Amino acid sequence: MSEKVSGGARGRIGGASIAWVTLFGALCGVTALVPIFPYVGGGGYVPLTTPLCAIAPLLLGPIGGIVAAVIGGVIGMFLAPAANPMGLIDVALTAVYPALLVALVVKNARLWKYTAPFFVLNGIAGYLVPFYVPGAAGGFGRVPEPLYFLLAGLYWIPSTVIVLSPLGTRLIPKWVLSRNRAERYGGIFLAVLVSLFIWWLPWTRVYWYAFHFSAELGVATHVAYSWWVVALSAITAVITIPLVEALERSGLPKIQGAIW
Amino acid sequence: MQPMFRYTHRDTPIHRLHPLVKMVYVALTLVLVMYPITAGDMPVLLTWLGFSAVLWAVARIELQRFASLFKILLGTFIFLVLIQGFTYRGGHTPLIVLGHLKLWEADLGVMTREGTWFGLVLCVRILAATSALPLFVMTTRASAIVTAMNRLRVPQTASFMFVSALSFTSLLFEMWNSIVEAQKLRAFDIDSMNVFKRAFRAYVPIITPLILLLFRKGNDFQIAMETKGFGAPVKPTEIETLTTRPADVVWLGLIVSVFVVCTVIKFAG
Repeated sequence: MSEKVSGGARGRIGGASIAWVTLFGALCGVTALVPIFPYVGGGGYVPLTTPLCAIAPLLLGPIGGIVAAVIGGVIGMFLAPAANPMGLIDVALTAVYPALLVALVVKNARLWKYTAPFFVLNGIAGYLVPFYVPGAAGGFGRVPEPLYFLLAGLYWIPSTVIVLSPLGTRLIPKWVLSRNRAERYGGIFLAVLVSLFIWWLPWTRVYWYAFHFSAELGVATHVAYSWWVVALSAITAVITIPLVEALERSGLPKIQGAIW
Repeated sequence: MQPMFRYTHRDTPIHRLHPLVKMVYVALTLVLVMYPITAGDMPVLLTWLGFSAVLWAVARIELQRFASLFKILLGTFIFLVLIQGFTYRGGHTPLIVLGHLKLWEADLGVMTREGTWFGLVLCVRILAATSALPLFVMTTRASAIVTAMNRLRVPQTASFMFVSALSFTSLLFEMWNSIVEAQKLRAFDIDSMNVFKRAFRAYVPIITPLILLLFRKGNDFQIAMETKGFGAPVKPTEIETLTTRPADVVWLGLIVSVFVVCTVIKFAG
């Protein structure tokens, strides 16, 4: 049986039809009004936008997924401005960044030379901001070392090791495409987990800077969120698998680079 | 599920204002709230917040909307006041003493006056940041935003996608609500679930049919676009023609002046 595969034609972005990218972007935007998972310690929620943007590259291919996330983030900013006090910075952090990172991880077989340095840069920036840059000059307290380095490292060192290891360069990209359900679940969960651990660093640092977090709170937040990122990744994987299976059976034209 | 802030047609100076001027206001708000903050920044933030309130009033946006904004942010405000109250490193004057729990530089058992004040300054900072975008959203038509995007040389495909997505949001709200109601009829009531059960169980039966329906509609949309010559190498027409009026220049001058005053107070103080 032959399969219809979309791609190449005008009116497409990275193989996905502009209409699909637009509509998925609109969905990502609308779901900015749906709180899905509370912040540890209260004060707000992660919107459904974030997991949907994270899986956009899996459903629409890397380029189409990232573009859908950009549209979704901007639409979300317009629909829920109160949830996006930092405007375009929030668009980048809650929508675009998860999509970009997941796209890099699922295409890591080819892109690991870019993925790994990008993860390292994220990790170093996440470690330094805000307690070292701007640090005391910006009124931020002194964090206890080496505890803080180790806690920040938990969010980027294992992810970086994974993207450099055969697990990241061969197995995860293979598993997300596997017909074996267990492998696919594992692959998607790991791809999202690795990405969201990295995502957590810039996502928090902007608000730590804006909310002027104390050193004690910075340390406590690293500890408190270690399970939270895993739970958010599990939620994302739980949403993705039935969706991918439904799309496979739907008879809709396939998209180059998507996992269904 | 319905958005709280949507474009509302009124004939006010802010509604008539050039979208790029409003974009400058949103951008300057972001710059102002990203300045390094100190406990003495309350006058700066209140000046900008007061200016935003004036713009809200001129745009005749109901006070109730501002109250709703405040209500949404209340959780964040309580979090900030408590966190800063108990952990602020410059805090010396006890306000509430629950005990003593020293952790590095902070005594987590004592809520200090300086910390509480700093928490309030941060709340005003967040309120100032958040008040800009609703004003832009509620006073600017989608067609005007597209024209402004074209003026900023944003590619036409991008602005078309943005405006199409924006106009599809009503359809999506409708589809979302229909699917939620349909699931309720099947005794799957997400409103009765707790946060964690909802996070893991509730969204799959909603998102899966929604995305399938959406992609099917997307096929029709793609055909309609291509039939109407989307991507043809000609310059498309614009629904709205934007012209710069003297009033736009005056408002721009006012916005920039208030920003400069705030910056001077901030760095001279």
